[in-house]
Amino acid sequence: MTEENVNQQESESKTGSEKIGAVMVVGGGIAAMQSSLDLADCGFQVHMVTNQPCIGGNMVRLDKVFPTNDCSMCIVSPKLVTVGNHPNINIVTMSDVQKIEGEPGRFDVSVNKRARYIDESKCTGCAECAGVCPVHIPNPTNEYLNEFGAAFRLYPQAVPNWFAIERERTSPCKSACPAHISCQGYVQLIAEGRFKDALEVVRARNPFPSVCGRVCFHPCEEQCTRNKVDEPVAINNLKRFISDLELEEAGIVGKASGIDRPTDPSREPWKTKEKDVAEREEKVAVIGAGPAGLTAAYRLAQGGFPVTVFERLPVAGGMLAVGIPEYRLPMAILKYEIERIERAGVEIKLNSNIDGADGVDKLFNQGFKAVYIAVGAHKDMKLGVSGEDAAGVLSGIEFLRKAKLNEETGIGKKVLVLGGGNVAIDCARTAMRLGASQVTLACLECREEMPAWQWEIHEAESEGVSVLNSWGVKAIHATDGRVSKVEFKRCSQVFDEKACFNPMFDDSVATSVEVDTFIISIGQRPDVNFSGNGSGVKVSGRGTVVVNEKTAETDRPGVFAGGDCARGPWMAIGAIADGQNAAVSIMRYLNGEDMTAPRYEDEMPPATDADQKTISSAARIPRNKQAEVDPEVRKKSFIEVEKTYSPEQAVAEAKRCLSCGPCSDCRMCEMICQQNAIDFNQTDVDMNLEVGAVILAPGFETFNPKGRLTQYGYGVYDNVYTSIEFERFLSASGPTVGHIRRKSDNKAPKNVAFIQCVGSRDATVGNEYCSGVCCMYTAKEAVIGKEHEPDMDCTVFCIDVRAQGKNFDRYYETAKNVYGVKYVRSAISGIKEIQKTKNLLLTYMGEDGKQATQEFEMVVLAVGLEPTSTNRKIADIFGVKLNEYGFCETDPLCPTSSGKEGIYVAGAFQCPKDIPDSVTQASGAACAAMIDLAAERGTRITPVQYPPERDVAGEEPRVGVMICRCGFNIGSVVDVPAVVEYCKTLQGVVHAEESLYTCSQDNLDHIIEVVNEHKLNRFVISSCTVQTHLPLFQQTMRLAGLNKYLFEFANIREHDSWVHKENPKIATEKAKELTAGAVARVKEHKALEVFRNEVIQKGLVIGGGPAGMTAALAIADQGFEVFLIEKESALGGNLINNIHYTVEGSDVQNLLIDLTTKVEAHPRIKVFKNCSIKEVAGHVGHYSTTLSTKKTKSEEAQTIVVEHGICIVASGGNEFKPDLPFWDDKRVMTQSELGRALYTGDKKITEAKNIVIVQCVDQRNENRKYCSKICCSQAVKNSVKIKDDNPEANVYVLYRDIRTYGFKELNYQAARDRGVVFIRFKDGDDPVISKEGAALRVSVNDDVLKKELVFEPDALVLSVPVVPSDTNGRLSDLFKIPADADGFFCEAHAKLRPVDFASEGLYLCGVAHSPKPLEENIQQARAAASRAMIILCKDYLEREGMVAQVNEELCAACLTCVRVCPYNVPFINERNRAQISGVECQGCGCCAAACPAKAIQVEQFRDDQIILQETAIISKALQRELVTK
Amino acid sequence: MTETKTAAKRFAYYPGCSLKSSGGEYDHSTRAALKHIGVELTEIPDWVCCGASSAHNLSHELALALPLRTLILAEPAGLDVLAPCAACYNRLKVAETSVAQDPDVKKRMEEIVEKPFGGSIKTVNILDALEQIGFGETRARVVKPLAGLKAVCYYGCLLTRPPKKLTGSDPDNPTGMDNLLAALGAEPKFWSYKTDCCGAGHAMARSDVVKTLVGKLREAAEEAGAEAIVTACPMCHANIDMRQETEPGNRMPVFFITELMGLAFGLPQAQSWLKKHLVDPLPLLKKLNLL
Repeated sequence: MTEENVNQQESESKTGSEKIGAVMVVGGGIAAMQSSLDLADCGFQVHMVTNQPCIGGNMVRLDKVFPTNDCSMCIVSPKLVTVGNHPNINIVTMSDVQKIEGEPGRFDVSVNKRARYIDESKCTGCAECAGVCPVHIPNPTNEYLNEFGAAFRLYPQAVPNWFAIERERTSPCKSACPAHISCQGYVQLIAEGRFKDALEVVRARNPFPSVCGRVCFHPCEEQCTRNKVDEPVAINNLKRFISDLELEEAGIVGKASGIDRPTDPSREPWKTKEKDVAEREEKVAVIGAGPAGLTAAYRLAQGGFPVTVFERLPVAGGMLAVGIPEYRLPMAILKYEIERIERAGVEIKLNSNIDGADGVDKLFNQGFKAVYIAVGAHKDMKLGVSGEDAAGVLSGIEFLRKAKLNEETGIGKKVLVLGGGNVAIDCARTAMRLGASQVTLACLECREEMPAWQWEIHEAESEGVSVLNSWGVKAIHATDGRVSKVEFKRCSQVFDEKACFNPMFDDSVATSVEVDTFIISIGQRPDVNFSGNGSGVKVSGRGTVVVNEKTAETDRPGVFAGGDCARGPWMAIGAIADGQNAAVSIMRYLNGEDMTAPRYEDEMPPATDADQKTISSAARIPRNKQAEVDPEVRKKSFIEVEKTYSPEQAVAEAKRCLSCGPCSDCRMCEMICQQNAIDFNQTDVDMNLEVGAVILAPGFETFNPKGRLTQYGYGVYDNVYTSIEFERFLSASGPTVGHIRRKSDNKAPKNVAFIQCVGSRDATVGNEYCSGVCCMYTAKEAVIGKEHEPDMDCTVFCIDVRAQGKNFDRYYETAKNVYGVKYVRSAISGIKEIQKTKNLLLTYMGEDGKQATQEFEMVVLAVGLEPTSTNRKIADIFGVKLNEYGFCETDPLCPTSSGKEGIYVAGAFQCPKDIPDSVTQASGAACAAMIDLAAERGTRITPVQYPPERDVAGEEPRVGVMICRCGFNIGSVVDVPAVVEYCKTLQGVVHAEESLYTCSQDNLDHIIEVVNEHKLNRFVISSCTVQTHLPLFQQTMRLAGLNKYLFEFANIREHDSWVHKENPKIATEKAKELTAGAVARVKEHKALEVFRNEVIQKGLVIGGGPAGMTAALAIADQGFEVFLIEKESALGGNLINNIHYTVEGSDVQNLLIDLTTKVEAHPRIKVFKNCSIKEVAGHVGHYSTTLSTKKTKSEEAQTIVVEHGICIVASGGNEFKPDLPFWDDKRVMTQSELGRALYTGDKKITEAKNIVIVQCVDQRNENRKYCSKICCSQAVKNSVKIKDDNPEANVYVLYRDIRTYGFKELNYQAARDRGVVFIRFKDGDDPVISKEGAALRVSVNDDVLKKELVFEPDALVLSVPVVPSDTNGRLSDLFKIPADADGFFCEAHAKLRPVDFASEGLYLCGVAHSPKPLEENIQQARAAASRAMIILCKDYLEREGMVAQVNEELCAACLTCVRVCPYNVPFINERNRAQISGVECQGCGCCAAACPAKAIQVEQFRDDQIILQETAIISKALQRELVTK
Repeated sequence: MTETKTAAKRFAYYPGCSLKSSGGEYDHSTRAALKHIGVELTEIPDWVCCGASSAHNLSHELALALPLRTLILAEPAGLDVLAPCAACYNRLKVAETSVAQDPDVKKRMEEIVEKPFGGSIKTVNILDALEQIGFGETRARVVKPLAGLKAVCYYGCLLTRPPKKLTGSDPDNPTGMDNLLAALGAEPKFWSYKTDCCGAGHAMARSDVVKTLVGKLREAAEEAGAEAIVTACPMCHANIDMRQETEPGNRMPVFFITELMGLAFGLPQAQSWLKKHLVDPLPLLKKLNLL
């Protein structure tokens, strides 16, 4: 840093001390990533806020990119990793900005972060949670063409590599269940055939799965979302099925036929966690062994408490045991479940009556610390009619109890049951089974009002019970003391208007039934006598124990109550829920905790149905019915009426579930996760970020034709896809793993039609703009498609082919000429589907101008780009404006500027654009933010502090080895302990151990301890991939005080456990071999020094046009000196004469004045005019460039040497006039001459009546195989101006394709609206220009009319090509920077490094890169400045020690290395030997591999090391061979 | 909730000229089928021509004013207007939405008709009406399910277009008639010609054009596996019924959807409606045991 700079910065930091050196980037796509990286690399803290669970945006969904055909994922994933690992980038996922306050330089931003349900600090991305998740939800990355789990990662390479759980709501079934069992959870596990897992899910909330599977009234099914489609999922039958499987094993029930259960133990996650519960001393007493009491007892026992249950009856189970007939619930099943409860440590004392007002006192006196009263409701209600005490009049509950306990019930042959509830039905059916010949059931209610379930009534009837509705008992008659007849009166109403029980009778209507037995079952109530006498337990008027509804506490501390005795008679699952709840309260009570604190059910998300889309698209599938035993057979016995499902039935039924959650809350992930990272209690979090500037880059969404462009049958016809779906077909990670397949028959299509402009250039859908990328991605998809299926024909139906970018036109030509992609200029108005073949019929205008119809096997709709659904919210929050289409409105000459100070724009948020344009704009936006915050650079960054490096030279190798389990990823295949033991035997290894997750923070800390404890000087980790984890482990070495190069990596996951999953033995051996190799190699590693070289913090910019001036200002405004050289005598480049206003109407001359004034006056910019470069020496960080200036009137010629750290090449280009005979004719002009004529009001144009504009003159042809990108927009712009100035003039534009991409399309529309006539001619059929006497003649074959048209224009405008500056060749030689076949400079990478040269420290922008409009040049200039700042802002550069070294003794100066080096680093020195500067070498190893004399070695990859490594591997492998032989 | 349900079961009825003449069977079957499922129809007093055949080609204002007058006449009864004829429906609906979308148009139209329009009622076609009511009653009333009847539903151009005026169903793939047909127990076949042109606009002047278009429809229906075509438009019905050029034995019967409702409901008068058809549907119905 020069002294002046230091002063400058100091003074700025004093005045601007209130600014914040941090930037928020909104979005996670490629633009957001590029902005973040530039800023972070330049010393700013970056908060990257994305609403997605990871970054990557749309680029990760693409298969390949045009025009390079690179794999999109391959080129973006290194960038993802860099962002993910960058110490200065804080990625804030699943978050939305809520509010921004403050002022430019100092913003305070509120951000809401949604719950991920996975702890980001613990998740290692091992994917175990996804592996056990039973839920299937459509995968958005694959355009919903396939599914993934509710525990998901958007794509395998996701950064940050954290999973998330899609858990929006509670499924209605779970919410409806009183015990909140995860019904969806076990149903979906059943759908996967994981029956044991499913049973565990039920047991987590209910110890009686078999019982409930039989007797539950299943309120879950009433709420099931499937009710909205057809019938509810048979949740209860499924529960019975899984519990029956266990009963089968226990020999309790007969075997269900069919498929075997899966036996893979790894699929039973509940087995992986053993609960470690402390034994407790506090004894708890439970009164009543019904479902409530036993559930509470079970949970308390699980919590470590000793529990004793006191039961009055001789059997346990309460109503389950004595109230439910055998044919509905076999006693053996109940016993089985109660025994399980006893095994958990519950003691049940039968025949133990605890009652009376002092009953509870006695228990406390015996040392119990808490009491749970759950005595149920076993007392029958009386009818209150005389004769009720006659023999043969029985009470329902008592009757059922006696029947169940095989006691004498005293029933006769003619039985009448009174009551309309389920218990009455049970009585009737039991009576039938006990031998009654006539069973009648009478009740007050009419059929629809009966409280019993309708299906129970049906079943009873089918067994022969007759039902008498709407009758009330009038009298009971007895003969010889035994009941003989019951008289009834008509019940005219049961409930009054207020729905209260208020029966009304009509005595005039009567009937009677002759009986010998009359069973009264009109309700039951609790038999509670704990109250009174200061017992402290209060009982209500209804006879129920009074409890706190939430906590189940009675009025007496330490005494709790629940089940039927507290809430009145209800269903079993209600009692179970009560017991569960009471257990929580009792434990909290005994622990002295707050009993009112939130409970399980309080923390559930709200219950709602699956989304409407799922409901409306669900196929109707009838519910699977359980088989029933024939009524004639069953009515004679107590065998179970319904048979359980077969496994196939169960799976089919479970698959009907609609995944409402979508997370099913089965908690399998929680059980399997070894890191304990799953956290279902997470909630949304609000956070505040302090930033100095904001970059908005939320990206785009693709147009969805469904419901908006119905004529193509998208979503209706099987084989019509969008282009993004097709992209996923092509992708190896897509739903068809890289195969193009028709939905209708799963075959590869023989021919595919691509329809362009779907959702773009279309006013009917509101998108009049051009999406700019579709023509090229279609060309790419057709080309790649043909590479996948060479026999597939591709036809593109389009309006224009817009291949305007750099090298795009070549790609289009290759698609046509090499790959045979057909292009048809015709818009398709509709598609017909052939029903038999599901092929598609397209009708269009053919080559000959006539209607043609063609059949295609697949149609791909090239869908356009639309603003994201969040754009509106973002615009409102940040106060930026959106245009009428929903994209951000920006300064026409500076598309990164939102118009709000401190808030910048990048990527498709501004306008649909391709990847390089997005990346460029992103760097440009970063540059703008850097200028704002220049003084705060580095203020928010805290560099990592490393301990001093230990000198290990001369020490014997002491190697530490760590073998990673990666949870189950490696551990379930490779025998990790065996590998560890083997490693201990290797020479030089002093310590070896395994780790669960090597990359987890606690383990990294442990590595540091291990290194220090054992004085290790080398370290090997066998785990996963170098690409993602090497930097992390190297950093750990440094923190342990070791040189980072004393480390070696073996990949035993991707290279081993994943590929040899089926063969664990071999995998284990391979792990040993790979680790042995790494150990052999690491011993030869040397501590390498990191080179440091000082940076001359000054820049050189070549070219004084708008791009060069913008770049110079962008650097100088950040406090650094710039040399700007211009070969002409004035600054301005093409702006000076050629451009006057832009397509968007901005006045360019004002811009020129503004720029030149600023540049000339800038204290840190030194301008050299009339200047050329003589010589360049040096390298990144330090160049010495010799300049020479021409002699002018005012100045002498001189030669100056400038020292600088970087160089930006902005050498521009010119309009080229091809050799044509008409240039002398004043009526003939170029497009820019027309612009000037319009600007100056030249009569030759203002008075012209007929003006012909010819496009593509001497370009896009054999001479120049590229498109100049700007001519179409200029022609449109100028013709609009002509028409505006003189509406009478006729303007004819002769063209091949009108390439008005993005919002420039609106200008094309404007030209057509004004009556400009556009005439298309065919490629290669150029208009012919001639002179007939004085008249100019232009004749053209109109490709639409199929006619020759002849014009005699007053003005003829030729759109001639833009060519690179003639100085490019020399610059190419001087800086060793490559130029392409057209003479434009080659960037490092067309997609992701659009303004970098491959050689570091050199950048390019403007027309020197390729022809493009002014605003894009300006943007590119800022981008180049942003990239250059990464070098310039550093005092010195650090260079990896892993560089090529030449052994001069072996070198023959054959020049091989000079030729192969992609960075032009090697040269032949004065000793006539190759020399490679360590500072410049990138360590790629190309030279070392190519050197025929083996004179070049790259450190860490030295031949001797590789040989040792390979020897170790092979000798170990040979041992294995010998052993296995 | 219950109130709207009852309201939906009553409609003001606009038969239009076709249903009073060539499409008489459509009128009869509509009235009978709807009555059978408890829908009450009240013919709008003093209704006038909807302007479908000529007015909208000649005068934009007349084309809106004629149907609007009918709507104004219907409004006091407070019932939505059911127009079974697709052309009538189209004109009435376009008038309704045009005045709703543009206050200037509304003002001008009210000047012409000399009466205000409150915009409180909506025009529905037969499919909308049944969808509003729900298929429950229809399903419940089916006594002779149309089992085995494979048919394509042909909606024609007028029930869904122009989409900006006739909001609601997908202009290229409406499904209301298919759902109704399925509710009657028949087997609707999917095809992509649901809303193609049958040429009714040229019914008289260019029968050659109509024959070509109808020929295409018949062919596509056959390709889709259908043995009959079902319509909800008297023009479509007349055209397709009249202009099939194939061998007489090869011609495909064309039904009004309401006729099929009558058949499925087992209404005794149903067979009498079919007598007016040019392509005799009885052999097909007999073959399928549906009579």
